[in-house]
Amino acid sequence: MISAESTLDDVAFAVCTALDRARIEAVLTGGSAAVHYAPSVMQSYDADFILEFGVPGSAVAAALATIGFSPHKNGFFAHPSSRFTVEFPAGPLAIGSEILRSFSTERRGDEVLHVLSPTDAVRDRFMAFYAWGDISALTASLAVAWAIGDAFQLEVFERWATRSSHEEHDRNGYRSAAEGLIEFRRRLCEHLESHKFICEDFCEQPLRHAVEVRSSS
Amino acid sequence: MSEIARIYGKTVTLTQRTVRGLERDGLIVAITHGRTRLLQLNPRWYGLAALRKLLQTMASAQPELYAPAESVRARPRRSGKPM
Repeated sequence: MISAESTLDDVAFAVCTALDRARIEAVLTGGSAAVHYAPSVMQSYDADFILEFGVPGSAVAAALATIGFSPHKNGFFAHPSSRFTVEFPAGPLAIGSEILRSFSTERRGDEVLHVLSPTDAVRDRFMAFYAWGDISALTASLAVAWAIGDAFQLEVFERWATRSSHEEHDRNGYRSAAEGLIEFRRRLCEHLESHKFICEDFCEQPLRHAVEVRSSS
Repeated sequence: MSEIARIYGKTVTLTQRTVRGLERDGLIVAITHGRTRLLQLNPRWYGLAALRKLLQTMASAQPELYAPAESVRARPRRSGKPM
């Protein structure tokens, strides 16, 4: 039951469950996926879901009507008791040119939520920073990386970011992902220090090392 | 929007409708500066590289679009200066 007290995550679970019951697969993405993993992050007031290909809008509207959401003329769904809205950006589920074939599925009681995997949520926010120079997206990316701890593979992430940089930077003139990585590491260091988990030369070490430091403190 | 409409020789209404569709499908994005909407290809769209290639092919086949596009003023103008 969605109320004024419902969080963005509550709304996401309710929406995904309603769609799932109507046999519609939808995956939470963007800033709302970051909020799922790092609730302290304030990235958005809307839950962005990517629908499986070919789902008619009428079927989505009917499923969402069962939990009180109705379509707005500007293309999103709103609920009378909640400030959070629901949107369905055009698919497919992708990060840049990479189409995602898998995602995480989480359960909470009898509710279900399909959501970007933790590492993909970090990559998605980092990509938003990379594309728009949006510092809040970088902050969200870091917050998710920190929140998921061991599940985040920094080396895999860095290889991807560097590859993306080579593919896109020179041609498009967008912010270099390599520059972003330096910023990513610098801020992660600051975060560790601010939490008194100071780790000398952390900037040269994988995240796993920092997590070990945190655990042993 | 009026600049794009002028380049293509279309009405502003038709241009707005087209832009809205492209935005909805994720191909382009708009950033608002005051009353101006700056449009660009969506750098996060999965088909960006292929789309750019297609647009370059199409542009090379329509050289008549170059002159109106190049006539759009991009340099600054001091306020109060006569047009």
